[in-house]
Amino acid sequence: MQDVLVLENVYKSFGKRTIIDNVSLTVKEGELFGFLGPNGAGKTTTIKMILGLLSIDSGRISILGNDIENDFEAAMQNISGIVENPDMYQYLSGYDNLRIHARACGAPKERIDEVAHMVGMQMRIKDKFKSYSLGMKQRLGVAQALLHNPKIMILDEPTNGLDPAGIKEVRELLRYLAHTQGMAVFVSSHILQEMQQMCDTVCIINNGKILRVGTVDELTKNSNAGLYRYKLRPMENALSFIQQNIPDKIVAVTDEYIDLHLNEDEIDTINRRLMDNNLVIYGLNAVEISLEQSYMEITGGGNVIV
Amino acid sequence: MSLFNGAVLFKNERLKMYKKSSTWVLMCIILLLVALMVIFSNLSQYSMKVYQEEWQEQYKRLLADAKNQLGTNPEDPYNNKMSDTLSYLLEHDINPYDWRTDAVDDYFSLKHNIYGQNSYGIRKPGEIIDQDFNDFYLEKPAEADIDPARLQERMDKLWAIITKNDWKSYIGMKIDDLKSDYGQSENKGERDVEIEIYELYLEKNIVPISEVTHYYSGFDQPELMWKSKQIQLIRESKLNLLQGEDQSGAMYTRTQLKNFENDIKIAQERLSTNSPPVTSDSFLGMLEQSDSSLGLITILMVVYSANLFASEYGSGTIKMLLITPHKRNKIFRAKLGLLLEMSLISMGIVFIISFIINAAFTGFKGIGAMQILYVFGNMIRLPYLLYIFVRYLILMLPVIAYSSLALVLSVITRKSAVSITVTLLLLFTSDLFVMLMTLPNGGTAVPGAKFLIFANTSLQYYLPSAQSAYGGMYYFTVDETMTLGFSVTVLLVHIICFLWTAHDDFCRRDVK
Repeated sequence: MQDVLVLENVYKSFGKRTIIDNVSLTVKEGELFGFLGPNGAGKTTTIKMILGLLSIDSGRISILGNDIENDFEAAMQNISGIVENPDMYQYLSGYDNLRIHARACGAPKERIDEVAHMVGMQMRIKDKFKSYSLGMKQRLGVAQALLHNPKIMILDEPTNGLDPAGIKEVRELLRYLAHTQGMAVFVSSHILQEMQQMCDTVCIINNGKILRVGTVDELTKNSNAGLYRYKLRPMENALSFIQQNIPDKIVAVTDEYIDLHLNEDEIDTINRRLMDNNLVIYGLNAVEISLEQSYMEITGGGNVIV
Repeated sequence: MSLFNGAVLFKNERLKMYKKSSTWVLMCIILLLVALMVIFSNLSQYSMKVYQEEWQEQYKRLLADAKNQLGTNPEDPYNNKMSDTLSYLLEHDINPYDWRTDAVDDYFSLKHNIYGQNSYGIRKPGEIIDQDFNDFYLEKPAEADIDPARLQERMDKLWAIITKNDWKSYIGMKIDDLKSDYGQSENKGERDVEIEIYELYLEKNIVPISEVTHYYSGFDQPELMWKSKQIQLIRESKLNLLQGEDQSGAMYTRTQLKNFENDIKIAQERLSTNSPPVTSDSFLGMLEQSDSSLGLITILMVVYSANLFASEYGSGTIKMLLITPHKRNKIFRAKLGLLLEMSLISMGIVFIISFIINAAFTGFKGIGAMQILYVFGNMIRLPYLLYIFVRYLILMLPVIAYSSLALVLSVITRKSAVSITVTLLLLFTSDLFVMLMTLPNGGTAVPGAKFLIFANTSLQYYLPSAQSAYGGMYYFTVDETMTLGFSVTVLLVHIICFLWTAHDDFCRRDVK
């Protein structure tokens, strides 16, 4: 699959403060890419640089191979986006707002009705933008971003302020665009659940640094290490044995079970040693790590796994 | 490679501007004020004519005054002369512009032994009014007038001229007087100019108009007398060129001297081609004066310019604007193009409004008049209506300069309020600035003051107008060496600097 958006070692600082610190990432065709991070992590700054609103201090951003600084117009042919809020001209109708953008992007006039239909705005398209609800504004923003059939769409917190039904609608639309239309969709958010439900790939950013990139599966399964819950008898002997031999593996201890952080190949060794010491394993299961735990771990906000 | 040219961006800018209701609300308010201004100036012109005292009324009033004073002092030569002159003028229906007024005045002055007039009043022969001004004002009676026989001969001659209405003989007499040193004019050069001018009346067969002004203070500029007005203009310009300094003793600049020479040539051209100048109360004259309402357009354009970029930042739409496949310089140019279009449209509407209102008041009389002027040393003739249009265009230059200032301030601050406030403040205080820069040095400008934008925004002072066609209109600038070309250059340099700074800032700066 083709690389649509590539960031290579991008830096950006405002004054002495480094906002974006050596960010590199790749978004592929048909991929729903989640850009996750707490508020102030540098998500919007990255997006603004991708869209050419901010200059790049060093590094390179290219869209389908076109450098956005040297070949701005060619790069912008294939990208669209909504930054922060879908801000449009309040005094113009939805149609006029789309018309302005369509003209600027070289999209044919018929396409306006097409995209309005796609986001379900065809009934209200002649009304003034200021009369729309937030959900309608978001949808119109998406419609605008779709006008010139871009290869990649950048959305900054697209579900912000929407009710659950609205969020679901947006999610389904984005899935449709990515998986059916083959468009790359780059979505930023600070809400984990949303990312987990929607995205194929998630990139976690904090303090301007990329901490982890991977598929949702990879990030949650955590590949080589995992959390295993042992139910052992007798509990007192088991606890003393483990505390003596492998204290660094303990994650949590309760009356019922002991959670251990182990690699897959360690499980067999541990099990043998437990049995050799006459401890009965009557329960062992892997604990699913949610993205939330992984996120808290990665961003330093959690203490589940040290 | 760019698939699209800037035309679509320009179309977008137009859609955004023209679908905004505040654009039209503001324009309507300003245009209403323009219309009111034009109506007001027409009304004041009209009322001036209506309430102006007829010359007969004024003559009768002066005559009654003179007779009243003769009641207490029957021998007073001044009041006797007034009484006789005014009675004669009224009786023979000689209007204040008729050359015979001068001849009758001369005749009765001689009859009552009065030889001249000055700012202190009428003087009797030999009377000294102010020792210091002797050289200027003391006119000795001519030798001829002291000899009773020659005095009588002169009076008889004048009387014959008056009764026969023979202006050519009157001019002839004036020329003879000058040649024979009658009236003691000291300066040979000035005397030659006067003779030349009198000969011009004869040569062109133009009836002179009265030069005596102390009987009537009307505002009329009868079109019928434009020819003799032109000859008077030639006379004034020639005398100015001869003297080389104005009444306060300040030397004329090279530009001013050049203007005097041009005025002479233009007046001669008007006489030889029979093209009367436009009078200031005619349709064209009023239309020309209405260009002062372009000052209101400045306010309009400043607000538009300040909002052009600031509103995009304010509403957040700047992001949508910039993430289209167009470089920022194209967007900047599209917005600038819109500004130019708006200024031309508002100028055009002001022109049309003035045209309609002035036509409603004065009609279209004299609309085909020609303007004659010097451009880069060449005399050109063009229809006056076209000239007025060009004048409006030239006067848009200061408007564009102030708009550019508002534009650069709004791009840098990204707020319209700051930019509008600062620009309008500078606009309204510019006269004060010019004054402050000239006053402390006793009328001479602070060095470099003439390069400031404020000192160059009153371009109408440089442009010939209906008023200046009759002479006597001299402009006030910071520095006498300033010319139209200079001011236009200064304005253009300012405009380019403002726009370049705005362009640079807009294209480079981050949109946070």
